[in-house]
Amino acid sequence: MHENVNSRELAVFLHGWQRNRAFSSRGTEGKRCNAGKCEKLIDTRSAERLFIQVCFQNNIGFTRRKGLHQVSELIKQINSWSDNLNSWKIFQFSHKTGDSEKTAIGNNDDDHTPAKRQKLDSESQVTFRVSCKCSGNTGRMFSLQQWSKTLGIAVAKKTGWKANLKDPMLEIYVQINDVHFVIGFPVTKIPLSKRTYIKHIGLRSTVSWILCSLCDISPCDVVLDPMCGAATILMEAQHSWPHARYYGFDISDSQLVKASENKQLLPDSNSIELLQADVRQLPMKSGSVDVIICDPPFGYKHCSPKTVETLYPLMISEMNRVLKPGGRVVLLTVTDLKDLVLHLVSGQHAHQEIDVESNQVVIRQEKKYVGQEIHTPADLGTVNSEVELDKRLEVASTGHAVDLGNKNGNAEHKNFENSKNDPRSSSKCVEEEVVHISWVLQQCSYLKLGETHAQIMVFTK
Amino acid sequence: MKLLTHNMLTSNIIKGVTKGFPLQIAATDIKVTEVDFNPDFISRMISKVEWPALCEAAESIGHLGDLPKELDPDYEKNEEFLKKAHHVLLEVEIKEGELICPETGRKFPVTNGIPNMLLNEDEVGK
Repeated sequence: MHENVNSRELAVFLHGWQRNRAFSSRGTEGKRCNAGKCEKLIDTRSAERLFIQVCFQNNIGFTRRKGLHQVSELIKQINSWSDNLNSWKIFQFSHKTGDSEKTAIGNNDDDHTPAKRQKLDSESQVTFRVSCKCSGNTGRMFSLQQWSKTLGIAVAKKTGWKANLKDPMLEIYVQINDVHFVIGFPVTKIPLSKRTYIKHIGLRSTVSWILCSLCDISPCDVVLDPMCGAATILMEAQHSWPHARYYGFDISDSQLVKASENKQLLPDSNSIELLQADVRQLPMKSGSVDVIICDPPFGYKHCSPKTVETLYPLMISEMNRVLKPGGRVVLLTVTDLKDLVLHLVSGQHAHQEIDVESNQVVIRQEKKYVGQEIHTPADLGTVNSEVELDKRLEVASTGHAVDLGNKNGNAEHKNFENSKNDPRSSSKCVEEEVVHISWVLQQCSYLKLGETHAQIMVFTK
Repeated sequence: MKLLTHNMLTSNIIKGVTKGFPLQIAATDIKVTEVDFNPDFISRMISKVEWPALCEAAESIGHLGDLPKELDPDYEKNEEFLKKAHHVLLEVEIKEGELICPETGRKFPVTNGIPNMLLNEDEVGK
């Protein structure tokens, strides 16, 4: 039975962050694959979930008047229900026995007991539940209950399966939004993104893995996360790239307690070392680090936007000091701070003299930068030239044309407006000690974290 | 904290300290745990560490054994030596104690294997 399926093609899809699509969306993507490879797909570190694909359609055009009828008709037209059910069943057996890791965490279902096996084998007793995720205008046309009920009735009618909300054998996952209509059978009860080795969740495991995957960790590399929190990034890194040395620093005792509890769950906890330190004063020798991976505060939850503006220059400067030439940096930050980061890594700034009370530090520097290399101050009067400046700043600092992303509500621009007519600022800049930081932007990708617009930036020194 | 880590730490973040390396160790609890030996890894790590500082640190806590203080140019081929280096770099761990800045005498406590390298506000100032 097992071999039969291995040679058969299955349609599956992964739900979650797609590395090969530059994480452009947290959406769904269809993929066909051989069932043999399916076993490997289950180890995908960047995906939230894995499904057997029943239906994957774009732009159906549900209408407010007929939507529920349309969806019933769609279900009726799908003829692959029992084929897909068979694929799903066989996959249930094959991966459960092979992969103890997936079943280890809180997964108390007794799929291995003879009774349940029998239940799975006999199609007449199939019970199911519809789990609906609706979003966008299409999703909101009807209530979740209306969608679910209509779908449930249609599936039962078409397949003869029995609805069971409490303890179904099969969960039918449906996603309805303005772009897709997707139906799938989840291959694992627990999302792929749930890891056995992470007890305290910091950054989402999938995102952590993606950050790590972008910085080419080689054996013996010294890898530092200077604001590690519960160390989820390092956990993911150590799990997938075990032969490097990992250092997690955090300023907070309580975060380090979580980090050390997490660390103990790794098969090889020896390669992660934790230290209590401040990102603004990293107690590492200069040039001793190969890779820095960091998810610094966005200025929303852990500190204010004002604090972030004084923190980032100090942070980048210290990172630059401890990083060896040719070293790699991966930063995850919000879109609003992208320009600040790009500016900070692109050359001259003098963090030592920064007036902590002032929130115009960054702006002063920007002015200096602008005045010397791009525009004369007189050019900066209009909103248009600010945008222009942005473009040039990015191109100048990176050598790459990067998309301009989300520009609205960008705090430093407002400040820029305020300070640009202040003659003191530029003269003060010149007096400051100049530290040269020149990182090359290798990649910049947009990522939506819940409601937050974020960027992953990859640099080399 | 393992001695490999110790070899990368500095107290030059303190105002006025120039080198801050190597930090002195005053250990009250040292734990030795067995770690899988990987000769390639150890050879490559040795090329990254400051050997005299490692020996000094190991000696100060009584774990140098008969590890040579001078690095043999052909050390990569000497498995016996690599095993000893492996022991010193990765198996010896400071669980409790203090790290001491060689220039100012400032003490950094090590608790449950985690050094606390945070500074007071008046010590910061590069």
